[in-house]
Amino acid sequence: MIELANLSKWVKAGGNQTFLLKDINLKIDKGDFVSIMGPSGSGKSTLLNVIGMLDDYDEGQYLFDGEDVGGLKEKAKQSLHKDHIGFVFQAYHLIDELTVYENIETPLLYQNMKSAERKAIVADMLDRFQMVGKKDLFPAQLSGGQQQLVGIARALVANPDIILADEPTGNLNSKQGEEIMDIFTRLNKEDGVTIIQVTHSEKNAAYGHRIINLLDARIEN
Amino acid sequence: MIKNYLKTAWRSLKRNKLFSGLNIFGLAIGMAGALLIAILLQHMLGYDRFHKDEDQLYVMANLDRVNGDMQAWKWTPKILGSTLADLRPEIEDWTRVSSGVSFLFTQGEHKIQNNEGSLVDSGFFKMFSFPLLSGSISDDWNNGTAIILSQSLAKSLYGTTDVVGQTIKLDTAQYLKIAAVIKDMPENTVLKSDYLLSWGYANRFGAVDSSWGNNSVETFIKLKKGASLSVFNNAVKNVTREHRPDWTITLFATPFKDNYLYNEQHNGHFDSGKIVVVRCLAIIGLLLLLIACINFMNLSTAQSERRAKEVGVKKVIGATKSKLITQFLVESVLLALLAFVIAVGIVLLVLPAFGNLVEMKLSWHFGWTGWVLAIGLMVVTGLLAGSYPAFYLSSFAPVKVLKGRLTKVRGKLSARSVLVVAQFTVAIILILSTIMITQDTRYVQNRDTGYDQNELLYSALNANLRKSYPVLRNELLQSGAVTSVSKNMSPITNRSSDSWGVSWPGSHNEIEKIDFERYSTDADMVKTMGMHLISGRDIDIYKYPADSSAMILTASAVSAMGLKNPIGVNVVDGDTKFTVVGVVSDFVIDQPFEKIKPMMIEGPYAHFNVVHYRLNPRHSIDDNLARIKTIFDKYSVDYPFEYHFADEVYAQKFKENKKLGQLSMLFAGLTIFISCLGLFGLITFMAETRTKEIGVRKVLGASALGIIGLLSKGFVKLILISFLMGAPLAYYIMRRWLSSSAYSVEIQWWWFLLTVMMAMVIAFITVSFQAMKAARVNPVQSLKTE
Repeated sequence: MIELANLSKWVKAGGNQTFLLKDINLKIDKGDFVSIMGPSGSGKSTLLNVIGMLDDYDEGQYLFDGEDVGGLKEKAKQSLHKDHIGFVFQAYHLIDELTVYENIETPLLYQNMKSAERKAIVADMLDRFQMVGKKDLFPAQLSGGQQQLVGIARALVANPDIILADEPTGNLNSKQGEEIMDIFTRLNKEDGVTIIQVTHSEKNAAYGHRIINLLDARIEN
Repeated sequence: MIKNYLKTAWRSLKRNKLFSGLNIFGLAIGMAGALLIAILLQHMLGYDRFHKDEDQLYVMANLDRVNGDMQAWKWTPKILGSTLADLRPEIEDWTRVSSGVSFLFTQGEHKIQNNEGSLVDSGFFKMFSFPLLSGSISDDWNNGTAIILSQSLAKSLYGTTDVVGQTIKLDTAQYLKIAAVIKDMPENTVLKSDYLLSWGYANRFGAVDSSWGNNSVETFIKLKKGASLSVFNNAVKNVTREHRPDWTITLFATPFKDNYLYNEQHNGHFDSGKIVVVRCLAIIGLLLLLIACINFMNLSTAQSERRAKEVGVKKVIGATKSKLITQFLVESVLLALLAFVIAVGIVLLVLPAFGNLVEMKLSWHFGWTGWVLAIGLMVVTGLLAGSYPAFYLSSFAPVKVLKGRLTKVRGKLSARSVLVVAQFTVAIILILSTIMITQDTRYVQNRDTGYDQNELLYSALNANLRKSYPVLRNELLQSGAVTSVSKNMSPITNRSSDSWGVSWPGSHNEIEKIDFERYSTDADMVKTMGMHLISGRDIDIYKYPADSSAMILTASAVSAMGLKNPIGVNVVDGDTKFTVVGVVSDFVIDQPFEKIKPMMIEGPYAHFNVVHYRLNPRHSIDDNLARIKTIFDKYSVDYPFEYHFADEVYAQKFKENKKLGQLSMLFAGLTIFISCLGLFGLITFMAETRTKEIGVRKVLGASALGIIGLLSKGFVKLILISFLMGAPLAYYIMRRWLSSSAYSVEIQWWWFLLTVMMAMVIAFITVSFQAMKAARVNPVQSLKTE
């Protein structure tokens, strides 16, 4: 599903070329569960953002479902991203002005879905994460774990093939972290959602089928 | 979708109360100012635009070379209208109009002195849309034995408008039937009158002459549909010259609908006047709106830090740039709508006061087109104001904003700085204009008028007073209430007459084109007015009976005529030969902003309309006035005693300028206020984006004062740039403004200094408030967020 070949990304600072990613070769199949690990600054998040089409790369090839992402126009990239990828963040990044319900509903608005259909899907999602009673609360009124649940519900609501999670448990205590990881495992097993997560924790990384270690912008073998 | 937009907009508006408040309020103030101007412009542009046949209506005007310049004027001989109508078949109707007719109306207990009457011909009613409520344009009216009253005059005299056929007493002994009642004329017509008499009435008193030299009425004509103005003008251009072959006047017609807006002529063309005010106001209105929009942009983008995360998240979960732009535009239109509602409230609240300021009866009657326009303008304002933030915010790269790396945003400060510079440039131009107008007014007010206005009074001479003038004069002098009395052509504060074609021994054709002001006295003018006699003596008909043909010249008249020994020279004005008996220093009659023209003061051969008297300084003003009143009442039976202080009337002449000064101060104030809101937004934004820098600097030992200096420094630069841009522009505007009047103040360097200091102080106060807040933040907090 995702194929990176000799992919590199760099920044130029005062004549020096600094690599953020160097010669990355990576193949991720549908239904995979991958954990990316590595020290700070090794390029984990950059890799995730490139996979999520939020960031560009300078060299190499990126095939998504066989399609060359580098050759796509901005609009096509956006729609590819919108239809296939859901994002989960360490800092949740919920919209403060919107309620739980509305936060989950927002991606559907951008899919131009009819109101009745939206309602059904959001209700289903709330049910699944056991948050029906909290649907009218604002993010500030929830605990961190609850906020991350909303974040995951929001990432899932548009029915993506892949979830990209950037340290999803980084701001949570271990019990909340376990819960999130259980959800990821279930999603992966029961719904066949491909999951790529960035994490610092060995324990959480172990939930994945395989672990990719990054060091100084390269994949360690 | 739109519901979702509105919801987010409303919540984020509630969340940031201070910013939303500043934003909406700033926009509301700008909109209110623009709306007030729009109402004023609607009033001014609507002057005489309600006549059904406005495209067929014209005013007759003359064109000639006077003192070397081409000049046009609209005063015409009374004979002109009928002459033209006989000559040109395309004239459908015509009327002469002489306004400012004054009468004392008596009806039972009610006594009303009204000077808003006009003499018109019957064509008036066929030409202009002033509908009759009752009655008709009867033969009685045409013959001058009946009068037409306005609805409100009839009401205040009789308490009803059902008065056709009644008889009303005018002045002391005239009785006129009421022929008709007309609907009150709108405020915005140059023909505004409370009652109308026919020229047949004037004829009854022998006040209608057929002289081509007496330019005393306005002549309006209505051409048949489809008639060509240029053909007509070509046909009538020589009409005056045909009757006075020695003259060079060219006659022409000019559209009546332009009469109000293009009321001043330059080089013989009616191409300026109130239209200049209209244009200035329109520009100010647009600038005000623009500044409010800029302000809106500044404040909105200043919140970008807060909104950035939302933009990032939305982009990640699938929002396209266009959807985000739409969202922000919907939001700004919503804010504009709220601002508009507040603006309408402000306008309704201050409209009466604003009307007083500009001295027009303004009212809010927009009609549906007006509302559509206003709401359209509101939406456009919203879109315009929201455009920059919308495109700016929606262009954020999600990866960057979600990582809290908004460093790139700081580069965008320059765009916002340009906006602030633009705002302050306008503010500086307006401040300078305000200073100039007030300084100029003060300068001209302090001008040496050439006579003493203190305790100088005048009263109008009515029919009774004219008859018993000699006794009145004697009694006034004997009463001890006055020290001196003089009968004159017009109040010392008003020009009444001028003349050219005056000749004297040694004069020649060219020099005879000098245009002289004309004035008159029976006696004691120099003494009464407190003028300065240079040589010779005052005119005094009581002491020197031959003085009925005596003349006093002003110093500038003597030099214009090139006379070495003016005393004893014979001067011929019209058909009369005068002998110069004295020379006085120049004095200001009428317009203090103008150059003093040469003047001739003629002896009692001339006509008289007012009496001036100087109060006796040994008694109090009230005592003096009480005594004077008894004497006037004795001879002026039926007329109430009216008097005017020369200095008060003179002060009225500065009203226009003071009004202009107040208006410009008002709009300068609004501009500064709105600009400061923008500045406030900018500094808040800066403090926000530089939180980390400020934290680090404090850890490294920077003082609070140092931080304030750091944050404020940039703004001092912005103000200086605004000043450098605004000052030359303002200088140019001031030069043009001041050169339009002959007597005006010089531009002073300290105006510029004052302006830049004011702008600096105001900006600094605005900035330092937020800078201080930023400087006081505990660095531990600001550094933790990373």
